[in-house]
Amino acid sequence: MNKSLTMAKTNFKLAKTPLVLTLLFVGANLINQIIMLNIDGVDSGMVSTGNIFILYAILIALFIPLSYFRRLISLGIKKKIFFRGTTLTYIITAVILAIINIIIYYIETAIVGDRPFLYMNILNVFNWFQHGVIGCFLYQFTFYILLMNFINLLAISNDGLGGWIISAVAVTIISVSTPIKPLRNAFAAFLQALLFNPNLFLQILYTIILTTIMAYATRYFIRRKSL
Amino acid sequence: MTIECKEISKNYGNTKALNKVSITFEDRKIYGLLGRNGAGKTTLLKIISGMIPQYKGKVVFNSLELVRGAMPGDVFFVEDKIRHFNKPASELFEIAERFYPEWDCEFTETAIKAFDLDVTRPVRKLSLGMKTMISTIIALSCGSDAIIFDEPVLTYDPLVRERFYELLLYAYDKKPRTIIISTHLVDEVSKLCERIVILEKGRIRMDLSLEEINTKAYTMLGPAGDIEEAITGLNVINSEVHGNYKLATIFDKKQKDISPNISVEQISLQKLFIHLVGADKHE
Repeated sequence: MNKSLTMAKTNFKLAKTPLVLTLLFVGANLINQIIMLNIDGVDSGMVSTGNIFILYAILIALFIPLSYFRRLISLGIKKKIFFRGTTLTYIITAVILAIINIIIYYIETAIVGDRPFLYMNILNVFNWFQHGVIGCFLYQFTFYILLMNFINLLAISNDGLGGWIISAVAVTIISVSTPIKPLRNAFAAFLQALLFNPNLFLQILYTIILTTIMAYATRYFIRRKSL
Repeated sequence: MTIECKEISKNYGNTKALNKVSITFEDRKIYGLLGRNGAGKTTLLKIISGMIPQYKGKVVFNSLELVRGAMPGDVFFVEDKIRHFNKPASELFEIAERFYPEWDCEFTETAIKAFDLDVTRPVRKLSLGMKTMISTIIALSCGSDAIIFDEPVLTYDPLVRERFYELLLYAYDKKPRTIIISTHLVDEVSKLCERIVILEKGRIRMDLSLEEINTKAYTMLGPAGDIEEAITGLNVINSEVHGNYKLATIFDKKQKDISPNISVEQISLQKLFIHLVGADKHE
């Protein structure tokens, strides 16, 4: 656990580029929000700054496997420590992002009040507040973990046949299920179960199952990786 | 740490990189691994380090079999093709240090001074040799029970090579451990190693202590007739005829009763290596 924690801390220290990029987008969004609040544009929309922070989750899930993995191995870090530490990195990131989003949601809704423009926040879109603040935290936490693990899996497996198959399957599922109505409905039901599930327990359960499968697949690909 | 390789085989397509290699690297010994390009040295070392997970056979560390795809915790692998973060060496040492509780800070300082390494410059601004120095310092400072160097001195100038050898012996004196060095600079490693392993076409050609090599590898020079008589039944790995004289390189036990017309001389490790792995050229 100590080495995993050290690995997680190292990942966060290294991940300056994802942080800087995210902060740039956050800054740009804040400027946009300030303008919006001052012009009161009726036909315009405002995206929550908290949601922009999710970019960080996407970026570190790309940077860690694609850019840091080989370099960390060169420093003598073992695959097992890398895998455990990276998993911990994603857990910590998910917790922080969930809290940030909740805090920013309350700040923004207080500021926006009953202004006429559209306020967009995934917490509203997915109705994640339906089970209160704790529920919102859990909905988000499991979703972010799933998202990061999915990206991490695609990135870590991209140099082998297995990885290409996973990517091809993912693309095929999305592209085939979109135009064909029964498949589209099935895909929508799948997404609903993972993202909009009114039953918090079921959503958490499905997400944990899927995340665990992805984590095992990631571990498999890391182990099979020739360096 | 004792490292046992049992029947290790590895193919790259139709090419057999390793063919049922069985060898034991004993605890606290320094090994020189020699072989021509493509002999399978890097493949063997990477399999031992857990860098290559697809192979046949077993790798056992202190009686514990290496799980396929895992990297042994107490083995550090250093290669010449290194990818480092573009950070100053001091930061890289800090990162590595966090993962090794037995990190030897004093040695790190000594090595930085010996290599005259600028630890404040980012890696991108360092030469290839300096990048290798960083990995070498980490390997020797981290306290691993086994260190594997794959062509560690390839990018070093002669002065740095000497310093590397000195540091290696200094680190070994501080903490004896299993060290395997793969190199083409045969005679240079002979000063360091206790045992020499020669790989040829994916097979172990020789695995002997330096002492055994010194007693078994020699040349005999003398009149061709006397030499012919003297080498009967011996393992002759090379022979050259110069007029009436013949020079035979032997890799076998020394004969006691040799004609006084024959002069016997020990040969260098490099000569032995060339004759052993280049033997097919003369046959």
